[in-house]
Amino acid sequence: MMKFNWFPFLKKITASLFILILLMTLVNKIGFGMNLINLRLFSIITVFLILILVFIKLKNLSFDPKLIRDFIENKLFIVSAIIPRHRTNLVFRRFFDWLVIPLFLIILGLGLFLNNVLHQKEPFSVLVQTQNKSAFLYGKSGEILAGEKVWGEFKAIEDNLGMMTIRFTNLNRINSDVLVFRIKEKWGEDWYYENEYKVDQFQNYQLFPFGFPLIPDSKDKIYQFEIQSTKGVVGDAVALSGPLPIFEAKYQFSKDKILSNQHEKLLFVHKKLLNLMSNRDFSVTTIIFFFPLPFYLLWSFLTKKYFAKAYILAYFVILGILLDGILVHQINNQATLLLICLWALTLIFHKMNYKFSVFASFFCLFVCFLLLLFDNNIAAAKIANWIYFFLVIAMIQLFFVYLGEKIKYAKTE
Amino acid sequence: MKLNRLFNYFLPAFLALSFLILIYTPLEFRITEVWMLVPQLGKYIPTIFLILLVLIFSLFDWKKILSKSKMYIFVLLLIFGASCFVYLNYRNDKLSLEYLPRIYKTSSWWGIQGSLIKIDGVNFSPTWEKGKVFLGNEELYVKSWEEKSIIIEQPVMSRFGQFDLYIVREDGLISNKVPFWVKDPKELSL
Repeated sequence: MMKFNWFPFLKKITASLFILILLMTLVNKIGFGMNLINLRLFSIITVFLILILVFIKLKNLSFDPKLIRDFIENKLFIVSAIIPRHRTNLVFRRFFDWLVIPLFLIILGLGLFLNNVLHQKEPFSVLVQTQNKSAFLYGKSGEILAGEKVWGEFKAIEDNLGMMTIRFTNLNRINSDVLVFRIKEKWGEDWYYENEYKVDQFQNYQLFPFGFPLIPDSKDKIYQFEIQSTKGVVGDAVALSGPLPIFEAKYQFSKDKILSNQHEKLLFVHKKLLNLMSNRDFSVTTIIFFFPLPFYLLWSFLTKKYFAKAYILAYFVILGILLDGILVHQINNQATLLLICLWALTLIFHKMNYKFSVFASFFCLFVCFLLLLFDNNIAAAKIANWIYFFLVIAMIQLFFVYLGEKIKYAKTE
Repeated sequence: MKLNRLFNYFLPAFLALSFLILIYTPLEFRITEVWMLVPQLGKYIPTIFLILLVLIFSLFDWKKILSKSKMYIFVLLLIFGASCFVYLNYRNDKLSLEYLPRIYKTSSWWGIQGSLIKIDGVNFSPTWEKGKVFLGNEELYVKSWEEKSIIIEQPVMSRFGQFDLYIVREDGLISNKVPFWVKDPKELSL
């Protein structure tokens, strides 16, 4: 019986699907499309098939990974400078390895950390207290209809309470309801502040700000708030929504007061840092900024060949990528770039060929599917970026292999 | 050689798309717009169908098949031409009906005074632009109005029998008419 050859068949299907994607995109662009085909699903299947083809192809290839290392060490000045292993005396090398480089990495982490502090979406003079849904004593999960109220309470952690932001969903439509927001101190008779808000300005799944006059002595007091719908009907109302935090209380500090004396300044910086570190996005990103230091220390110990075969550094970087992808909701370019650099150094250290980068992209694809299964779309989108990054790195590695072979060929000639 | 390979890649793609248009689109139009069985077929059905067609057409070596007889080229051109024609007609018809209100089903095909009837369909217009629902010439009381469903309460009618149930949107567009029986409560108690 004739054996069926899968590779050309898969290649033909992948190429045909790719042609169809191009064709349908073109038809949509010129305005003749009907959205008959789900292009997203189509693209996912095509990418998956491309990865399978690359994997099959790589299995059949063989090359000498030593060529990459030789090329990098001999031709790339920067990498040679980072790894000064020859023509230096022992004292200088120890001083450089154990003081200069670690100090540089700490300064790098601090610099990135400070940059992150200064580029937060909140002004520096604002402290944020995040809350989950349990703060709502009555939190309706569906649409808030006319006359219905959702209410809750929280204990203020600071003075100068001046704003609450609450997350709503407009259920993918423009609603015409008007909500009344009220806030007062617990046990107080009158509402401290009350105002009406048209919900047509509410963005889907975004925190909507309810501002009110600053309460200068709010610290440790319990505040109650309520939101009441005035015109909500089924199909024309908003609802409370996730993801966390469901609502935030914000404390506005006066810049003049902060800068008035050294003690106030230090106290506020201390509070601000604690406040920022309580934010998961910020704290995990900070950990990633300081990743190069343990990475370098591992690198230095691994040179003693204790664990060189175990790909410790690769696991370490993958851990960083998963931390960044799954726990941090926002994309931080510096953290991403840092992790890419660490992966590149790992490839050099472990003499890993491009197959590892392709394998890492497969791993990310698998994680991506798992995250999508659990409806964690933000994390899935972030991990999906890494599929692309790993494939690009694999391409660059292949380029170096090609270059190495060229050099080898030129030498033999 | 390269041209042969390209031919083998392009042909399954174009043939799959042509067959999708020739088989799926007329069927979809019949089911959703003419027979009005459902507002739309499954979201992923055409995508999966297209992938299956690509799989089937990729099994053949098209270069070899076409080199056997020139008649096959004519057949292929005929298929491509027919698919273009069908697609353009389908698109025109579909777009002309796209924004019209359409009733696909009612919770019951008969009712007595005071009973609640749910009407399911598409393009009823949003909640804040409520239209009217008629049973014959009688306007019905609307209890709830949404883009894809309306709940109405049947009033006391001047006579019993079969009436046309239809929707008139706020902008004056009238939906298709579905038959509805107004029954005498006495008949039910017998």
